[in-house]
Amino acid sequence: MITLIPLINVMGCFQNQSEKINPEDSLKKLILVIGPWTREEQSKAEEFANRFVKADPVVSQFLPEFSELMQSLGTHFSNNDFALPEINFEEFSVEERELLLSLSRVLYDFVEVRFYVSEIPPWGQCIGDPNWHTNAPM
Amino acid sequence: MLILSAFIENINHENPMSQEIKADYCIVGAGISGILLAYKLASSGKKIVVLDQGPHFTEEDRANMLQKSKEDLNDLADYNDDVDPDILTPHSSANSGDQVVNYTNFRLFGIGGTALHFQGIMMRPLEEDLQVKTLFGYGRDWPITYAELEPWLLEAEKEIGVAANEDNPYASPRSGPFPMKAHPFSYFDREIFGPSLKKLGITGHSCPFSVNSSIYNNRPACQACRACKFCPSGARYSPDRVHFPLLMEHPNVQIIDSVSLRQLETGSDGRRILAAHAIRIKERTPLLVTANKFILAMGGVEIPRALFLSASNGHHKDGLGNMGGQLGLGFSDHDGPLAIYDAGRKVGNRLGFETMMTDHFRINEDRKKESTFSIFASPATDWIPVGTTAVQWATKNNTLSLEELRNGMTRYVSIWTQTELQGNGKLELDHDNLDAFGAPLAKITMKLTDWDRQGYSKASDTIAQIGEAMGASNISDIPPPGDGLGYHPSGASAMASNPDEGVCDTNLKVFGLHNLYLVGNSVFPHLGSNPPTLTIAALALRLAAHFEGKKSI
Repeated sequence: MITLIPLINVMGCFQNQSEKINPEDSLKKLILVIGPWTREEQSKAEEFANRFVKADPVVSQFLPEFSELMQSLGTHFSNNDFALPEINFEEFSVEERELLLSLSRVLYDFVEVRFYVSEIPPWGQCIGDPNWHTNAPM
Repeated sequence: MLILSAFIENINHENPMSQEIKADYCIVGAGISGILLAYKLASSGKKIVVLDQGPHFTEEDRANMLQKSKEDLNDLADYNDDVDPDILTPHSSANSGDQVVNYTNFRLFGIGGTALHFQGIMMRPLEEDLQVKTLFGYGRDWPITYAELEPWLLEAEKEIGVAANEDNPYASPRSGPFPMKAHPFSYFDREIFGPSLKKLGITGHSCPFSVNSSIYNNRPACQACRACKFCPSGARYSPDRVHFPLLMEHPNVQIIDSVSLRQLETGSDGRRILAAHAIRIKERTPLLVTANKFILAMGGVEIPRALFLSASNGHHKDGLGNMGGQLGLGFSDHDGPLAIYDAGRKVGNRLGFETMMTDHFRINEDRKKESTFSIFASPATDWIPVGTTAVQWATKNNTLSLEELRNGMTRYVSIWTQTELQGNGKLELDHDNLDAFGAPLAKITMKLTDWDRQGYSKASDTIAQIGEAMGASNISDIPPPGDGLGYHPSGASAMASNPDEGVCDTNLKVFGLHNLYLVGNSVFPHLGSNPPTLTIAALALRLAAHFEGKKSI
C-alpha cells in the first residue's frame, strides 16, 4: 500500500498550495494528508475525517482553540495530498509543527487507524479463526 | 445517624413508593462473587435477593456500545459511560505526603460488575502469597492455607471455564486439570517473546484465561473478534451472560438492578443486621430488605465503605467489624511498569489478549527485599494507543516520516507487568465529598513503600533486558510508580483469625455480627502479583458451601 504512494507527494513541494479554507475543512484535509488512506480510498478517508470532526472530546483538542493555526497549516498542502510518506517542517512555524505532530499522535492512537495500517480486520469483526494469531506475518 | 438522615432527605417524598422485601439471603453486589454465590445457593429453594447499583446490560446494549465506540471514535468506551455519574458512586483519593500517589478505581456497576469488562486472566495465588508475614516479614498472612483454598480454585476454574496448559513451572500445586487447553501461542510468542525469555533463563508459559479455547458449557470458542471488552462472540466469561440467566430460572431468586445500598441497620444488641436500607436510584424511592443473612459482595472499595457507612452510635460506632481498628487498613492493589518496544521486525497478530506470560519473577525473587511480579507481552497494535510513541520514533531532523510511522505499527510490542505491593494503603470515609444521596465517598490514600518501589524498579529493569534480548531498536519511556494502580483494590476488610488482625473470620463472617458476611477482594489479607478474580470466585463458592453446611466440595 505504502509503496504505491507517488513520490511527488513528498511534502516540501509547494506547487499545489491551496488557499485558506474553514478550520473544520482544514482539519479534515490534514487527516487525509497524514492518514494512511491512499487517494483510491478517498471515500473511506473522508468518512473517517467526518467522524473525527464530530467526535468530542477528540476534536476539542484542536477546534476551536487552534482554528487559525489549523487554517494556516492547511495551506501547506494541496487537495491532492493523501497519505504523504513524510513531512519536512522547515517551512512550518513551531506552532504549526507541534499541532501537526499532535494531530498525528491522536490519529495513530485510534484502534481503527492502527488496524487499518496493519491490515488487520476491524475491531469487533469476528475473524472466526482462533488460530489466526499463530500465522507468520506477511 | 447523620448519614441515614442525609439519605432520607434525598428520597423522593413526592412518590414514596417504599417497598419491603423479606429474604433468606440478601446479597449486595451482582458482580462475579455475588452472582456465583447466589447461583450456588439458588437450588436450596431459599429466597435470595441480589441488589446492584448498576443496570442490567443486554446483548443489544453491548452491540450498541461497540457500534457507538466506532461512530464516536471512542476506543475507551465502557459499560458505565451512559450511566448518570451523579447517581453511581464516584470515588476520591488523597494526594499528599511522602510517597502517596493518586488512586483511581476502575470498577464497574451493573449485573456482572467489573467482570463485564475484565480481561479474563484467571491466575492463581502462589502458596507463599498466603504466608508473606511468616515467610518474608511483610504484609499479613491469610488465616487459611493454599491447601484449603485450592479445591475452590479448581472448582471456580470449572464453573467459569478457564483455558490453560499445565506448562507453568512456577505454579503452585493443583489437584486437577484445567477445563480447557490453552489458546495456542502466537507467532510472536513462538518466534520472539519465548526465545527472548529463554536467553535470560526464563520460561514463558500459557496464561489462564476465562476465554473459551473450545466450546464450553454451550458457549463458543474465541472467534478472534479482539474487542474483548464487549466480546461479540460470548467466548469470554461474563457473569451476566453465564450465571445470571441460570439464576433467572429459579423463582426463589430476585435480582434487582439500579438499587444502591445506603446502610445496614444493626439490632439493638449490636449482634445482628436487621435490614438493608437501599434506594432505587432512578425513582429515588426507598427499598428495605430484611433477611436472615446479609452478604456484601460489592468489591474492594464499596464493601469497606459500606461497613463504615453502617456505623451506629451504639455497638459499632467506628464501623461494622471494626472493633480491632482494622477496617480500611491494609488496602492494596497492583502496580507495574508498561513499555512499548520496536522489535525491529514484524511481530504478527494478537488474539485480543496475551497468549504467553511468565511467572518467573513471582517465585524467583528475594521477597524480603523486593516484590514479586508477573510479565505479559504481545503485539501492541491491537490494544494499546501507540500514537505518541510512534510519532516520537518517526520524527527525526525536523522531518516526520509517516511511512516509518505506519510501517512501525506492525513491529511494535507491548510488555506490561503486575507488581505486588505490601498493602500500606488506607481506605476511610471522605466527609468532604458526598455521593448523590449525601453519604461520604471512600477516600483512598495509596502509599507506596520503598519495597514496593524496589520491585517496580526491578520490573522496569527486566523489561529493558527482555527488550535487549529481543533485539528491540527502541523502547518507550516507562511511567513512574503508581501509574498502574486502580484495577485490583483489595484488603481493606480483611479475613483474619481475630478482630485485632482483620474484619471478618475465616468463614468471611464479620467479627461481632452473627449474620453479616463479606466476599470479594476486600477480604484478601494479602494480594500477590496475580489478578484477584479467580480467588474472588473461589471464595464465593467456598462461602456458598459454608452456608449449606458443606465442609468440602
